[in-house]
Amino acid sequence: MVAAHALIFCGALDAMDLLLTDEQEGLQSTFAKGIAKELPLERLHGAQGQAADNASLRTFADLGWLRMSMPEEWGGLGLGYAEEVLLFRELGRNLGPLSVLAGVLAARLAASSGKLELAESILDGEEIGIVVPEGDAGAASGGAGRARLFSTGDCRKGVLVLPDGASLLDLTALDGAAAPCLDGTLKMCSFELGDARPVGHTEGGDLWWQGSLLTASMFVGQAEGARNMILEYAKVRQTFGRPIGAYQAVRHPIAEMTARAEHARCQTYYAALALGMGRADAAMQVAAARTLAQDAARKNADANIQLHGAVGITSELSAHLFLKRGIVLSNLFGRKKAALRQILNDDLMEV
Amino acid sequence: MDLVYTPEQIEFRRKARDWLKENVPGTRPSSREEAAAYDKAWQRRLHDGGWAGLNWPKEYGGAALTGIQSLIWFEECERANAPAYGLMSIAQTHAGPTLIARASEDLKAFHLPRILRGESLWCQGFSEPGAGSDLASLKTKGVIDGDHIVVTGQKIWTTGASTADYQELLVRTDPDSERHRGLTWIICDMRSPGITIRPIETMMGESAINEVFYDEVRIPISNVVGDINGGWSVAMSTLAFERGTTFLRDQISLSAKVERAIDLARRTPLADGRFAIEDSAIAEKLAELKAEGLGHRAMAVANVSNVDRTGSPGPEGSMVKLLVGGTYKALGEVVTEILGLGMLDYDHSRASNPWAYDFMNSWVVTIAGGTSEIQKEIIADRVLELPRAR
Repeated sequence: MVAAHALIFCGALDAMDLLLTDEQEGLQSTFAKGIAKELPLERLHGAQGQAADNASLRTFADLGWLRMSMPEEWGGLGLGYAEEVLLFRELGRNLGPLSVLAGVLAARLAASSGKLELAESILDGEEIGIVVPEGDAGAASGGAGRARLFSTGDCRKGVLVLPDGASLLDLTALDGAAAPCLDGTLKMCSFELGDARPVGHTEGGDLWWQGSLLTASMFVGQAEGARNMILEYAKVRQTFGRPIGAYQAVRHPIAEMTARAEHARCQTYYAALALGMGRADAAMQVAAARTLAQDAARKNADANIQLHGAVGITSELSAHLFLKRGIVLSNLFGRKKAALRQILNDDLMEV
Repeated sequence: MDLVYTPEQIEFRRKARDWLKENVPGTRPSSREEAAAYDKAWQRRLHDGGWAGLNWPKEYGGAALTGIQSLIWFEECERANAPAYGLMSIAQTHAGPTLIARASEDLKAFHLPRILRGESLWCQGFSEPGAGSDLASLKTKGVIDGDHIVVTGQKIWTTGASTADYQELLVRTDPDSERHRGLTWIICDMRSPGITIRPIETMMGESAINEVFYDEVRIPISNVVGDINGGWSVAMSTLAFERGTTFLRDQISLSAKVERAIDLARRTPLADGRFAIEDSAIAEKLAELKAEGLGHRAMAVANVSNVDRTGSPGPEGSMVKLLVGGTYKALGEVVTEILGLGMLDYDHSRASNPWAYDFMNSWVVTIAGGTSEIQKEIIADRVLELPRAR
């Protein structure tokens, strides 16, 4: 028998307002319009996607989007993670280049390790890849083991982020042979970490949590993008004389997709603020955002394909791309298991 | 977006915490009558302390709290293990706000102070057999006879009917009307002659739901709120309140329940001798639920931010209800795995095994106040504007 026992905690919320300010609304609309115009999903049909994404990386860099959350003394704009999250949500919605994420993290790494010139070149749009170690991240922190490099096009540097430190790697010496990737809109190479030359390093978990947060925002965007795609289709596609969106077997899953995306979005915004404040529970909040957002993106990608019916599994439609990119993102900054461990073991915050 | 409290909000929290520390009563009894007396006494204490009618306007005796203040209040209630509204819920969150919005000054002057002081319990007479979610198909008839409406018919699922003083009653006053036209919203005195109440036993054992039968019950026309045959719009404004911040406390409580379940897993051994928390499937499920709980809290902040900025909650309430219900049920499932046979130690009272009670009660969460399926319909219609299913 179980008796009621004392609460270990409660009321751990520290909050005032989770709606966007006017300035943030403005930014969001700028990102949404800019990215929808620059990177429509249709670009990913056929081979031209990577070229378009390479060009937009420089466009985004010119607009200052990579330097948003960097402190001003490092050439940044001094905005918060909250603003950056808005950008990555839109990138996620349009399956934008991963090199924007890599660039944001690499520039901060370079600047914080005193390499301001390198940081500037990254902020100006030099393409950086994301390095993901195979197997246990712990073993890779010593610089050993194999890793994968994900990028939009050809790149000479990659950023490797681990829970306790991050390195910027020069990959010029690698032969760079790309391996075929499930997500055909990305370039993937496999290499020995020992063959890469570190050109910058920082200690600590800052980039890990920033990267996790931005990954969560991209998942949120993907969850919303997949929902939007099927929502549009459900209103026009007819069967048995009615739009499919009039059938509960279709409208109920779309309602669930909506609630899921909203749940993940609110938590991601909350986590962005907690991380920006350096709150004691920030890591847990970010891990929770990543967990909810990854689930939302995966489940919404699934529902989007399924509810489209047979056309959902064709490559002519973008539905499969949300699923595939989701699988790539689920490998960044540790997998869900690690995030869950963080959530379970961290204490809720006392107010 | 901002997570920093103003000094006033910090002060408000301190005040709430101090007051609750001094005033939270002991455990709520499980018998219906004793529970009703307990809920009334708690409301009276809230009133005397200045905490009655949290979001009611000041001119009607309310505390006129902002959304964020309400959130702080409920957090502190959770911390202090303060009672929820209990049987006072309909009076506080439906009837009072509806009267404020739609009733005559006489009705307001009579009822509102009684509700705030904990002197009257209310129940809701909307659902009927055959008219649960489909409220517009209700059949209980109200015949106008001089200055009275004579009510004959039946209501069902009426929480707290046997202990209530008044009921928000929805009847069909135009026999030729269809659907939502021809309905009237009227205050029924539950002690009127001709009312029979039959309690319905629930799967939890503890029961507060009832069938209510009306045999030519005479209610003065002066008790009508809104217009005769115009009850639908009054009922809809009531439901809007229900979908607003009614679930706030539930949203907040859920995280605390998950923490208790994690604690339970840390000290409950499984059949193989390991503690339940060492089982990776259980640990991961609990972590997922903890993340969901954090997400519910974040949604609560977004929701009350909306209330503070626009004056009313949006249709997001349906998403919250849908999500909270799902987490509730999943929590019951993982606790069943942790406790094993211990889940069966239940004497049909909440106090004997809160985990078993909560699991059984999770179906109340996903059915009462609009089923999860109805919430999905609301999201599909009002948020997504999908083609109508009906």
